[in-house]
Amino acid sequence: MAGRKLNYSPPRWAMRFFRWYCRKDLADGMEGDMLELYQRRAQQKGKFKANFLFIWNVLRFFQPFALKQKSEFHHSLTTIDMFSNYLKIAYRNLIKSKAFTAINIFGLAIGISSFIIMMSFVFNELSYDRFHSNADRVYRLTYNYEAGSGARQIARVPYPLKPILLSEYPEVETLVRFYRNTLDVTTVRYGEKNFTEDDILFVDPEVFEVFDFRLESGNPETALKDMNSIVMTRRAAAKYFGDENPMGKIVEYKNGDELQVTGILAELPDNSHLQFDMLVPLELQRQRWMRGNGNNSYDFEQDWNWSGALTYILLKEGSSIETFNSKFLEEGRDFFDRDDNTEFEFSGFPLSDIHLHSDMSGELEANGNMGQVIGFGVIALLILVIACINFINLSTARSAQRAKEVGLRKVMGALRQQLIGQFISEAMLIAFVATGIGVLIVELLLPYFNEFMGKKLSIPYLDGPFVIPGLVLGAITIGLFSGLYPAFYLSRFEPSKTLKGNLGARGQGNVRIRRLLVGTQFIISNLLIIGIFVVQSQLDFLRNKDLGFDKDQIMVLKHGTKIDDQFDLFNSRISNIPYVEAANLGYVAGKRAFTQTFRVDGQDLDAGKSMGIKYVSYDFAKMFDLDVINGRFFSKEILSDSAGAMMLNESAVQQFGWTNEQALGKKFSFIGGSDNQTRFEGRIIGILKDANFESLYQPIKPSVFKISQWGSISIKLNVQNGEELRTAIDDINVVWDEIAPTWPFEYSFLDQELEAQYVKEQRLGQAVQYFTFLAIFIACLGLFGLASFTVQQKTKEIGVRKVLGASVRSILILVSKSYIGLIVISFLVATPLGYWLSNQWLQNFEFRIFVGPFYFIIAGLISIGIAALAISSQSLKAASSNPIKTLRHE
Amino acid sequence: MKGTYLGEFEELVLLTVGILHDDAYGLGITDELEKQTKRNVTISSVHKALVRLEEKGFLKSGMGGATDARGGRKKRLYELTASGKKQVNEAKELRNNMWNAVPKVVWQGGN
Repeated sequence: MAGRKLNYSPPRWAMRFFRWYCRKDLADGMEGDMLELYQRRAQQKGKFKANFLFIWNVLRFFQPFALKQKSEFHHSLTTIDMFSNYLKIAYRNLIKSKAFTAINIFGLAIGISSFIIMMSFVFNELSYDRFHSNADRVYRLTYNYEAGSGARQIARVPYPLKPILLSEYPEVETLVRFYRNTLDVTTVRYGEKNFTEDDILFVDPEVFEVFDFRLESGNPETALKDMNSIVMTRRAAAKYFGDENPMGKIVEYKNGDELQVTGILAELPDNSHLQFDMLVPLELQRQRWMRGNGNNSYDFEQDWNWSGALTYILLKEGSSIETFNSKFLEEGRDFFDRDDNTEFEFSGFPLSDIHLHSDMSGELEANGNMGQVIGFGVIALLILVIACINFINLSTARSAQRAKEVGLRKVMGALRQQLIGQFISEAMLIAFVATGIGVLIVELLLPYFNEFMGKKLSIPYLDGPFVIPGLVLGAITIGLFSGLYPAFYLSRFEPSKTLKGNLGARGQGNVRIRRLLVGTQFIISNLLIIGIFVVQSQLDFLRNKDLGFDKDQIMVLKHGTKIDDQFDLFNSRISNIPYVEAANLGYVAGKRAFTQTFRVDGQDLDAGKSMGIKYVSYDFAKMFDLDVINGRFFSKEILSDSAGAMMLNESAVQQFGWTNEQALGKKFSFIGGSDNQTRFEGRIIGILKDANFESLYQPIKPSVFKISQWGSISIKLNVQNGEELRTAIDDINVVWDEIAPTWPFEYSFLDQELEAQYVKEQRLGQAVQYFTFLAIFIACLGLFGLASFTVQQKTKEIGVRKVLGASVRSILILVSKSYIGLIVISFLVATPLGYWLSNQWLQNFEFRIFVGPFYFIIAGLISIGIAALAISSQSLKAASSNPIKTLRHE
Repeated sequence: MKGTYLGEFEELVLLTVGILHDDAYGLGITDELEKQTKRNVTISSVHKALVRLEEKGFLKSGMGGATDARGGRKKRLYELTASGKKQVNEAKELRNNMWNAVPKVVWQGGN
């Protein structure tokens, strides 16, 4: 085969296959013809098609006339014979020691299945939003600004940006804005059926141009063009219409607008950060607000001060986001009605990075966390490593039993490479069987894992192009990785020694390596135990940390905003109920609040500070048990409080650079709204003690408090038992039905809601715990196998010792002392490593626990305890066995 | 030697080897056959016929020049042997004889 350079070369494996089967005398001519044809086709039809046709040709040539004669195959046939012999021997060996085989395969299978399950979670997290065909060209606009305390990023931008982006930026192909009304819940009615819908998004009609949300029926181009239209998922539609065809049906939205169903969505992929049941045109929300209640008309398309639109731009093919960002930053200011404050800027954030890399305020959902995903992946890998180490250990430990076979094979003329090949293929066999069993376990356990994590993971065995090759490759890698050392070790035996029954080659090296591997397992287990302890205590610490306000027995009404103009009436009616302590209109503690810019009287607008604004009622401080440090809280008796009074929290006072005493009586104002009018101004009447309303993970937000005119309704109850609670709820329900007969009475409890925010994190933590237990279990399985093997080998020694009068205790110590030493050493290695890693992780938190020696001692004790359990059952068996039986063999 | 029966495709291949004279190799024959018959001809079927025809003794072959497009592989060049030429001739004669034996009326299609 002359090796002249080809312009195009076909797949090498196909050529090799051809060479393998083709008669030598014909091969050159035929191959040359095929190559020549291939060159021609590659030029005319492209390389891909030519490759395909080449492979097809090679297969077509696989006919008797072109095949090698038997004599030419001679060598390969012996190889096949040899392999079948290897397989037979491997099979016999596996059957001979069933316990060993079971531990080996079972341990490996558990390791592989946990690896697959954890990796499917990791891949699912990494795949977020990549299913959109334009995913690489879609960017969400971020609103960056410098607040007094540092840079802040918001995932939402003002609405009037849209026309500017479309007219001034040719690189923007199109864009879509989403809005979610978090202040108010929505009801949708169809005939008798009236449901409260939490997952409604308001959206521009271009949504289907930017995203690949598939409509099962309806026209994506026109579905949301009309203001009075609604698109819902099949599941949501079934709730209202049952078996009827939903298309064209009219539903009533919030007891007011009539919307026609113009599209039915296929179920949304699980790995989309945009999750919704219904889409309603943004224009509908705009019109509803412009109609307003009374004189309070509001048009967000004119309002530069409100960042409320989740805006996704689709860049034209070939445009780079960097260019767009810098252009947007430089000239953008000319367009934005924001010349008073030059610190504001906008930039695009890649769609597929949102789920794992974005943690701004205003996100649609609590996003994932890259660190956690990496941590999960690392644990998955560690479990696999532990399982492989088991395999290596058990194989080398059993080597004595194979020594004679190796010796015999060598005498019969086997080369070392052939022996290595034999043992590696044996390892491969086990790896493949274990992978098969592992896949079965995955299929059994995945539904439970999904239920637990609230995910919809599945392994796309046939649809995904990489799953089957990945599994095969994985099995080969595991086989190779775990078979390599035993293979080299076993094939080194010298026949003269092994056949004499003297295992000279079982030298110190082997034992040392085995110890090293067991030590590694224990270091890993130890680290994992330390890890779960530290993580769990940190999460508990955060959860139980004093928030600075009392979140117990607070009831939040879902439809409170619908009766906010009748709040006083409602409040006075429910205050007669004995179990109701107080009620509040406006901000609900524990939820996110608006952020606005405030300006001290007499200062420039530029000097404005960005702060949270929380609208509250007169009983707010009492309800949430907040302390007033200076001045006083709002009072009903003082009429001017309802309009001209404000309160600050301590952080806000610090941000203005005042002392608490200075702050009292200061006057400042807030400018905003679509007409840029002064919304209100007022004097500071008091300072509230800092409370961590917003998030446990962030520092306390500087906030301004003011008397509310509207908002959500929360009620503080004072009940001692379930009976009283039921009475209180029933009584409030009666009042509600009188005042708001058209709205359902629905409520939730604040403490539960706050808890729910951390559910995802808790679950992940628990999943990590379970997998850690599994890892330790696998390690123990290996240790158990190893110990039982050692005991088996030492049977005679133990027998002799017992005859000579050794006690059970001394024999126990004899068998386990090497392991205990190992565990102590790995404890000494794992402790500083674990300490360092824990502290690295804790740096992420504003408030963190102190990692004391307690954690390491507990972790060490646990691992020693588990190991002792694994070893002692075997040791005890050996130590208490009757020496007559063990010595009888000779 | 196997039987000397000649299939239709084999006959065409033999003729093509004759047409191409001193550059009759697998791909060349395939191209020529496609041109003449306007059929799709696969290279493996041509080679299959060539191997069989050589076994029957109608063709002989030797290795010819290599080109870059062939990745340096030599061509296996075929030429007709004496018995090959005889076979083609016999086939043609057989046909002619049979042609002549068909009554004229068949071609005129008069009935």
